[in-house]
Amino acid sequence: MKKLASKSLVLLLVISFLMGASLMVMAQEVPEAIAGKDLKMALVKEWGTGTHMMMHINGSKAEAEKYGIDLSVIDANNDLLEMTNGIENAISNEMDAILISHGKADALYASVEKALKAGIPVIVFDNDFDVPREIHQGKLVSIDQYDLMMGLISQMSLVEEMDGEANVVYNRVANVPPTDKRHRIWEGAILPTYTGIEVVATIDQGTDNPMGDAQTALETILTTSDEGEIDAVYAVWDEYAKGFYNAIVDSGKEIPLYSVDISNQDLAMMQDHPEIWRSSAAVNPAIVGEVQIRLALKALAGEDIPRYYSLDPVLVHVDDLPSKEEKRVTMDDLSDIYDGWGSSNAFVEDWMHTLEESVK
Amino acid sequence: MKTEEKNSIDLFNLLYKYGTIFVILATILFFSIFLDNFMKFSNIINIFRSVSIVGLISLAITMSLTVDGLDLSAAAIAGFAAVIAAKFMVIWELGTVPAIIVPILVGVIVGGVNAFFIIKMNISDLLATLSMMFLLTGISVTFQSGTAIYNYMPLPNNQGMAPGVLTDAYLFLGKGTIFRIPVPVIIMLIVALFVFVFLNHTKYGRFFYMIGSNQEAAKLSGIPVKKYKTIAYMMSGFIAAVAGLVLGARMGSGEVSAGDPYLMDSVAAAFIGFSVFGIGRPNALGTILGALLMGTLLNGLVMMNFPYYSQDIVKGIVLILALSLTYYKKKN
Repeated sequence: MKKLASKSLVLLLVISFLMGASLMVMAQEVPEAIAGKDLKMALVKEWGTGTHMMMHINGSKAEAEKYGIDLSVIDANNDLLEMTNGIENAISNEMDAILISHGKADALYASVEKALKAGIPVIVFDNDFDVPREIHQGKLVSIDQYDLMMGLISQMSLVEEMDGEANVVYNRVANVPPTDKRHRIWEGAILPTYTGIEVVATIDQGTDNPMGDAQTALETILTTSDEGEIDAVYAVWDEYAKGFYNAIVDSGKEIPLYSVDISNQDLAMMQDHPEIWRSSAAVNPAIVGEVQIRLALKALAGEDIPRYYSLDPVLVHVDDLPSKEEKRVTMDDLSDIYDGWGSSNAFVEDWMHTLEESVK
Repeated sequence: MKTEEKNSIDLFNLLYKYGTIFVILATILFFSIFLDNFMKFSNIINIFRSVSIVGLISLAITMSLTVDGLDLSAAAIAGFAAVIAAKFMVIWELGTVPAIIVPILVGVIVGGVNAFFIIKMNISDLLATLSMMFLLTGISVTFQSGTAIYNYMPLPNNQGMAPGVLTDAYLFLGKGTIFRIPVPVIIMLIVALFVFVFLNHTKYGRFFYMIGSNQEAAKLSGIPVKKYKTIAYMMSGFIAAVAGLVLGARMGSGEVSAGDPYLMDSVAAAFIGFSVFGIGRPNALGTILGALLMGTLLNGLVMMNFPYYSQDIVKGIVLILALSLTYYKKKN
């Protein structure tokens, strides 16, 4: 009896070991659907200029290169028709996946639907398409930088430093999905909760010339407001924040500025005037690109992917940065200061390491 | 019957001559009634400063309009000049003087190239300068691989920090003041005065206008049309480059395609300029008043918390009104 028990135990051990080993082998093997294939993907962007978008492009490119994916970047230069052309071309060139950044849902809907009908996964950043499940078949993801959360932590940064009492020059950019999300928090959560916060002016100059127009508009408000009337400025987007920063610095006043998004240029400005640009909530745009590529890979491998995904934002506060005399900080340095800035393990699978090794 | 007709014509003439001025005054009156701080001296200065870039670019466009051309590349030249200046100072550490002279030279050369394609290649003004606009915007994006050029920027491939900075002397062009008047305003007014004197009080100005009103007649009367057209485009490039230097200094960085957004407003200002005092042709004073009208509208609407799309609606209506005045008269 004892013998039998020990024998069966050994057998059990062997079996479990074999199973475990085979599981490990299975996990590391690149899924059949994409193994040995030359993958081609297209990244269609509404615009590709500015530090933020450059980092997004570079993040996507680096991740694509890691897995031997041929990624072509289409910069539509703010032309929605050009974006639809980019998507249509990707479909007719039989690209394996299409990554999109920004754009207007209405203008692109038909092309996106066409791509999904052709079975091409579409991974969208900062936009969303209301495609029914029968059509997208689980191959559509909308990624954002967790704009709701970025709105919350940047606006709370203002509330905290102002002790809940402030006359604020507020900024919104209407009809752009990410800035709309940030605005919803302000309107629905911050203002009703902290009633000492009062909006004295709202600046919305659209997206054509954000930095220049923001500067001119805030200059107007600063010149025509009474001394000490404005306690803080909030920028819903860092392109506006750069213009606001210029206007505040040139006015010689010391008004704190809070914002969303970050770039190397923003960091240089923050360090130059830490008393003005206090904080900005942000996600590393390079990670957005990396996650887009990995989600596309997972979709092609036939694995389940979520319909929505939000990345974790960080509040970059000037008090956390070294002084400018000590060290000029760049986006790369932020990973030393904030956990989770430099990289994300979201949607990294074991087989991706195998794939990475195989293309080296 | 007769007197009535005469009266209506007089009224129309009055409207034609002073319609734009009337619109400007009405705008100012409206805002000063509804906004307490609108008429403050500092806000008036602020309006002038806010239109300095549009003012300068529209003066550049005015130069091309006088010879019956249209320089659509003016705003792109401005953006290009700002990027070159930043590159010279921040990346190459070449100092203020080359960072000002080289962009201006580039502006003049680009104007010359525009003229070459228009005159020698017979491409229409609109298309030649449109192509140039795309070309320059494209090049300025590649100049620093898509990013803006600014102080302490990290260089690509981990080459450390950019060695130079935008010098104080350069930044003075955009941020400085002389007797409380911002330097961009002074530059705009000097250029406007120069264009005004050149067009109205020199024989070259007269030639420009003659070419503009009837190129064949000008040619027959012995004016070297090609030469003056080339000069007009080179002057346009020159003024546009100056606008770019002011723009770059005001922003404190070389932003990618920073000039482009100013194109439409500048074209509009130059055309509103036609209608001022019923002159009916491009002129420096009208252009500046056109720019000021749009700056005043923007200023007041921002103070009233109007979002950008409603500002565009108002701008569109004013432009239509001003152009109706000009062209209805021409037709009759």
